[in-house]
Amino acid sequence: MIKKNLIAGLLAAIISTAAVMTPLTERLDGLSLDSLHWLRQVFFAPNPNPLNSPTVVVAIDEETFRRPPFQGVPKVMWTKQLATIITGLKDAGATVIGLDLILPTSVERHIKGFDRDLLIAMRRASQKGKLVLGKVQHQAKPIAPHPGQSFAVGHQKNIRVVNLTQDQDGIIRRLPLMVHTDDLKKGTRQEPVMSIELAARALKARPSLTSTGSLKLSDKIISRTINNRLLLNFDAGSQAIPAFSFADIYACLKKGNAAFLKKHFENKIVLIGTALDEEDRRVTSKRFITGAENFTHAKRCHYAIAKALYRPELVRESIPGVFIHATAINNIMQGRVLSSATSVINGAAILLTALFIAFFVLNFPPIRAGVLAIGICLLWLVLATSAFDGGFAMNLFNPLFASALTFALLLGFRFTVSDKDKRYIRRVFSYYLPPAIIEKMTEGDSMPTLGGEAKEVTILFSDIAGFSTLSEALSASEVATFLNEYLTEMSDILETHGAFIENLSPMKLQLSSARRWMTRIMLCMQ
Amino acid sequence: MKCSLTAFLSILAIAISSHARGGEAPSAIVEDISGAPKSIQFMDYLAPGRTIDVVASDRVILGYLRSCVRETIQGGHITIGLKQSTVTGGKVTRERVECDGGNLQNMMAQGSGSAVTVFRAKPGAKSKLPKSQITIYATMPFVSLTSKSLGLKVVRLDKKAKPLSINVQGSVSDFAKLGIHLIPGGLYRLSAGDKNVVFSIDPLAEDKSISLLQRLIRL
Repeated sequence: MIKKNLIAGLLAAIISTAAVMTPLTERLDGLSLDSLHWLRQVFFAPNPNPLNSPTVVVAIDEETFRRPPFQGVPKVMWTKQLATIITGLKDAGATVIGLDLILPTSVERHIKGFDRDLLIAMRRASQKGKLVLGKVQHQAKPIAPHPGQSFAVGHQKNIRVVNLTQDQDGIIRRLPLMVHTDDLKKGTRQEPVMSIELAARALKARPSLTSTGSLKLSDKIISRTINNRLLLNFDAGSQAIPAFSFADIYACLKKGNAAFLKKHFENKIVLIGTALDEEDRRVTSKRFITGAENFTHAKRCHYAIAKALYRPELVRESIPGVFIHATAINNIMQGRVLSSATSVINGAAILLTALFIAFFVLNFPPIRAGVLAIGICLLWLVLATSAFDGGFAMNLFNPLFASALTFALLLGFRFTVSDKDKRYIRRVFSYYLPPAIIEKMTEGDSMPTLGGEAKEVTILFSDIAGFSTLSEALSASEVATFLNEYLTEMSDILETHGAFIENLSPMKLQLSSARRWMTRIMLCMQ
Repeated sequence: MKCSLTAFLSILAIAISSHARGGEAPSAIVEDISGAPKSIQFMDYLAPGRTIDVVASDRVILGYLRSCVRETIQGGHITIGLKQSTVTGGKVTRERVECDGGNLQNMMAQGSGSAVTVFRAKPGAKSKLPKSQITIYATMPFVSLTSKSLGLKVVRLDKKAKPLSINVQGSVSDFAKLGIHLIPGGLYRLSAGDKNVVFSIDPLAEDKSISLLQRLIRL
């Protein structure tokens, strides 16, 4: 039976491990990562100082649309203000500016010279390597900046893709490091995505990929990037990356508050994007730890926060897309890139947990095994969260599902195979033997066999003196009552000493234990 | 708020008046200037047909938005075209550049999602102009008349322009032989007697001779 149980336990653990590692459970990988972000926040509550963030955001927020000179003016006509901001940030000492906005059209056809300020600002910033424009592609052709802007920034060397990797469930959890692009001269070229380009410029490094797909910035390999992917490590809330209102920074520049600009933008990577209620919002692995929609509330230069516009209690699952790029840059700059456990490590963790569960189910009664299994699962949650806090993302749920499956499989095994004989013995002998003896009989792995068992036993023959005379003087019911009282008392004494009544007429008592108890039993019976 | 609204309305008025004046879509941008050409500035957009005189010591770098051609021009008389300039009396070197930064390959594998905001000009109000029945890929159409007519009338519909009256000898009229060049992108009505047709000239149409079929209009 031990061998049978061992094989059953191993098989159940292996089947469960294989079952949860099929492609059907791939979606759980994403949910696992999102949950680990939440668990880390619950257990460890990391609270990074926003002032240490290498990246800051200038966001077109809902307030911007309500402030002069933006109010009521179509967005394509904000180019003069955008020019002012690009020049202002460059002059304030920003390391590099990334534009997470694309303006593929121009009003130039209708208003001659309207975009000239923007083009000049772009040319001057890009000549110093301080400006990168974004482009995006989903179909056959990219949505790229207006050709005039492309000429202003010197084309492909200052235009980078802002595409991200979207999982099957539509959630953003990682981004590609480098992409392959058509090249006029070479046919194809590899270029970094915008966030990698910005980080590389800040580190004054040339980005490339190793043979395993890890990011290399000049000579330094960015650990934990592999297969041309960066797994995003989000901080909780909405204040981890400092963000400033576009309208406020424009007003600040117009007012000439150089000190404010220098304080907040000097030596920083600046992303210009949107933090709006509707446009460019993405659900990411941060979805369980997002904060209030007060992204641009940290610092103000000119305008007070328009509190009437915001609902402090509003927390949404999605975040503005610009913060995804900012997170990627910070992950690289601060060495906080997440690494994902390989399938071998995940598989080993799943198998180990399943084996523990198998041991519990096969060796303990179901309720105790269940309690121990819950304990193992909780321990796994703590271990996985600790590993995540250290930057190592394991699959959180697969070991739990494998445990549940192993538990169910082996419980079924016990019910249908392992415990079947024992249940039979209990049922058959329950009329003749006391529970203690039945338990003894089913304790071992080998079941009683036909033909009996040779064993040294002690038999006590006992009689009630004068029973016939006594019974003649009593009614039938009185005799029954007398016998019940007598036998109850006698059987209690016998069972206390490990004996039992085998036959009542003629009364014969069998003792399973040694002869030494006989005298004592007889004394008790008197 | 009042101030910004006034500013916007002023801009809009300029835009409308500019559009009404018949502003062409720019085809080139002044990427760089050395010297002091009087009629252009750094980062100016230039429309087709515009001419620039550059002294021999001056150099202009032009970028063509549609063709992605970059021209370095040293001196001469420059006429801005749709895809490249016509330069007389100066030196010009041309190269192709990647205006859109190049197409991405294998998009689904590289990045199926994105995070960016795209600000585009909204499409204009629905055009009240008649729909073009034929598009001609040359600036000089060839008109074939099914019935005899003494004259043709060509009226530009999308912009104010002087109507053209053309005498017809026989049943055909070749604009190339008559030296009549229509404007690329223009919408025209051609009429002869009680018959008429609305046609457009393709925005990329060129003056060079192409097959008769590609410039044929039957009326």
